[in-house]
Amino acid sequence: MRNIGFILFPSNMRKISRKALFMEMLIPIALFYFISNYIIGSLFFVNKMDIYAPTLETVTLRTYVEKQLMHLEAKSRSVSNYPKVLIVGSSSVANGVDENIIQQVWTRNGFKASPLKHGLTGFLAYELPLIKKFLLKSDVKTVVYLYNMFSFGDILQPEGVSLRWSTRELFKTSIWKKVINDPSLIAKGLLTEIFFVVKYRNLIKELIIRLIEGRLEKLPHQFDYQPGSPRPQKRNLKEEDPLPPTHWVRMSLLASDSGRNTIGYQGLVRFFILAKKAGIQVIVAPIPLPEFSLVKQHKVGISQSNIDKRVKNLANKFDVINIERKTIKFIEKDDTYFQDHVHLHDMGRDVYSRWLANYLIQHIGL
Amino acid sequence: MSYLFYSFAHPPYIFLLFTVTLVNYTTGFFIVKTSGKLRKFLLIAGLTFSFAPLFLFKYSYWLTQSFNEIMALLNIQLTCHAHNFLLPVGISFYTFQASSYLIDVYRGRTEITESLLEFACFVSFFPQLVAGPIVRSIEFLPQLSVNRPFFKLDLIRGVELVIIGYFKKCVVADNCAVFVDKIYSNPDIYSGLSHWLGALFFTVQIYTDFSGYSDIARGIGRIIGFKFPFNFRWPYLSSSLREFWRRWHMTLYFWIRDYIYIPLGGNKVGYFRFIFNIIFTWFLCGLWHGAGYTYVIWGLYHGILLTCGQIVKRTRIGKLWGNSHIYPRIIWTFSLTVVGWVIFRSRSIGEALLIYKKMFFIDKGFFMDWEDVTIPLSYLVILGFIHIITYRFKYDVDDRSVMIRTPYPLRTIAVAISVIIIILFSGKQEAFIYFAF
Repeated sequence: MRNIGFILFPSNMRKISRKALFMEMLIPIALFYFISNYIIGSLFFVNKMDIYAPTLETVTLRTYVEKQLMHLEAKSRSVSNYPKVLIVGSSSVANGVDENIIQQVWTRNGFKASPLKHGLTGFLAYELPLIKKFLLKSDVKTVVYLYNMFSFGDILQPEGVSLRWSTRELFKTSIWKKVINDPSLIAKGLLTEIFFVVKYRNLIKELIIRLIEGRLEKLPHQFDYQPGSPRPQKRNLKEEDPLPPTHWVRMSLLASDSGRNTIGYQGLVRFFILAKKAGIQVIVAPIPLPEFSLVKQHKVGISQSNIDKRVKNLANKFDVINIERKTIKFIEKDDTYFQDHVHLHDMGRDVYSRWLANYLIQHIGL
Repeated sequence: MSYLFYSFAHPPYIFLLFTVTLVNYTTGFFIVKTSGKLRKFLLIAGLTFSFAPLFLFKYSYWLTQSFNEIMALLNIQLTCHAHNFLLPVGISFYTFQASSYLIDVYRGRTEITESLLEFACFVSFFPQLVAGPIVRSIEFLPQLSVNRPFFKLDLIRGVELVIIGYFKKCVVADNCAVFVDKIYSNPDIYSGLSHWLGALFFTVQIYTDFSGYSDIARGIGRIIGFKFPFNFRWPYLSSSLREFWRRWHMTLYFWIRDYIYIPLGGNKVGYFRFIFNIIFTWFLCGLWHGAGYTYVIWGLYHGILLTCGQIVKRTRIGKLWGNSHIYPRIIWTFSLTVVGWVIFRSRSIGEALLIYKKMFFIDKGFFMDWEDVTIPLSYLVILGFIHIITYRFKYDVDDRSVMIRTPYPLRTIAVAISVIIIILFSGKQEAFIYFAF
C-alpha cells in the first residue's frame, strides 16, 4: 500500500507498533507528568520553594510573578487550625497589608481565623475567577478583594496572562476574545495549567541555580520592597499631563471608568457567582490610594467615585459586602503613609492592617 | 499536514510554496518529453521561475538599497525603490530542494514522479521544511512509495534525536545567545577578551542551534518512518576547512557542490578557472545565508581560505602540514572558523572590523573584563569537554541509538527527566537561527 507521508499512522500499523508507541511515548509523558506535578509539585517542595523564594530586586518580573503564585499555591494547600481569610489584590496589597499584624489583632480579640495575604503584581479583576482553584477552597471562610482603580481594565495583564490562567473560566467571560487570535498564548496557558514545571520553570530554575551556587536564603520579608526605609514627606504635586491612552496602565484606568462591561467587571461578577456557589463570603473594598495620586499622569481625569460606585452597585446586586472609600479616607489624606502613588509605606501599612483587622472582625461571620 | 504546519508561520505564503512546487512538478513533466535545446530552455525557465520568488523576497530590497548607496556615493541623482517583503519561512530550503529535483530529472538521475501529491509532500515535508536538511528527491520519494512498518527502533531513535535536538537548541544555544547578544548589542564597550569569548559562544550557539534543529527534523522524520541524511558530523573537530565543509551543513555543501561547483567545471579545469570556481561557489554560499555584505564576505572568506588551502597543499610546507599531528590542525581549523563567525554574526562590516581590531590588537584594555568572563569561560570549557567526550564515545556518529541498549525503565526515566531539564534550563526562547535563511 502506498503511503503518502501525510498520514502519521499507516493503517497497516502492526500491534507491536501500537505497543511501542504506548511504551516509548505515552508512558514517558505520563512519567514526566507524575514527576512534574507530584514530585516537584509536591507540598514538600512547594513549601521549600515558598520559604526560599527570591526577593523582587534579585530576579526578573516574570520569576517574581511565579514566586507570588507559588506562595498562593503553598498557602492554599497548607493546613490551618482556623478558617482562612484570604486578602487578595495587586502589589498594593502585597505592600499594603501585613498579615502578621492582622493575626496579632485577631488573636488579641479571640477572633479565630487565619489571615493570608496574596498580593500579586498587576493583578486585575478579570483574573479572580482564573485563580479560583487557589481561592475557593473548602477551608476558606472569606475572600477579601482589595481593588485599585486600574483593576477593571479591558486588557490582559502582560506578565501574568499565561500564568494566572484557567482554560475553563476563560470561556465563561469574554476574556477568550482577547486570546483567540494568539494560539501560542493559548498553548502556553494550557501547558502551564497542566504541568507544574512549565508553570514555575523560571522560579524553579532560579532556585536550583542558587542551590548549586550556595546562595539559597530564606525570604527575609513578605513585601515587595525592603521595609525600614525613612518615612516619606508630604508631597506638593501639580496636576500632570496624562499618559498616552496606549500606555497599559492608563488604558486600564480609562476602561475601568468607561462604563463599559469590561472583562474586569465581568471577572468580578463571575467571581461573586463562583464564591456564592462555594459558600464563601466575599468582601470587596478599595485599597487605600493617596489623594496626591489623583494628579499623577496615569490617573489624571479618571473618576475614582465612578469606579467605586459601580463596584458598590455590583456588590449590592450579588449580596457582597462592600467597604466604602470614605472609611479609609483618614489614611488616604496622609501623604506620609505612602511610599509612592500606589503603595503604602511601613507606617501606613501598619495603620491600615490594624484598621482592616478590626473591620473584618465585625463583618466576617465567625 | 505539512501545509497546515506551514500556515502557522504566515498563511498567504502557502500559495508561494505551492507555486514553486507546481512549477517544478510541471516543468519536470515537459523536460522528459523533450530533447535538445528545448529541454535545456525548459530547465532554465523552470529554475528561473523557482528562484524568482527567492530573489524577490530575499535579495531585491538589499540590492536596491545597495544600488541607491552606490549612486549616492557617485553623486548620481538616481534612486530605485523596492518593497521590503517579509521573508517566507524556509524559502531558501524548499527552493533548493525543489530545484534539485528539476536538475536531476534533466540529467536523467531521477525519474519524474507522477503524483503531484507526493511531489508536494517532498517539497513541503514539515519536519525539514523550514531549516533543512536539504533532501534530494532520490532520497525521499522512494520512501513515500513503499510500506513503512512502524518500527520500535525508529521510534526510540526518533525520540532520542528529538530530545538531543531540543537540548542543544533550548539549553545550550539559547543560553549562549544571552551572552552573545549582550556582546554584539554594544561591541565597543567590551574588551578583546570578551569579544573572543563572544565569538566562541557564537560558535557554540550556531552549531547547537542548527544541528539541534536538524536533529529534531531527523527525529520527527524517523518517528514517522522517514530517514533523512546527516547534516552535521562533528564539524568543529575537522582537521582542515575542506573537511569542515564536508561536516557542516552537509546537505547544503553537497547541493552546492553537485549543482554549482561541478557544473562550473570543479577542479577538472585550468588552474585559474578552478580558483574562480571555488571563490564563486563560496560567494553564492555566503549569499544564500542572507542578503547582506557580512554574509557575502563570510562566504568569500571561506572561499579564499579554501583556495589558499588548495594552493598550499601542493607545496612542501603544505605536505608537511598535512602529515603533521591532527591536534594542531584541528585547533587551527577551529580558530579559522571562529574568526569567520565574527563577521557572520556582526550587523555590519564596520562592526566586524571594530571587533576584529579589539580581538587582534592586544592593548592594556584587552583583559579589562577578566573578572566578568571567568564564569562564561568555565562554561565554554565544560561544553568543549562534553563535545570531545561524546565524540570519543562515537555517539551519534553512525546513527546508532544509545537508548535502545538501555533497559526500558531507565530509558523511560531518562526521557522524562530530559524533558524536565530542557524545560527548566531553556534559555530565553529564540527563533532558530537558520529560520531566517
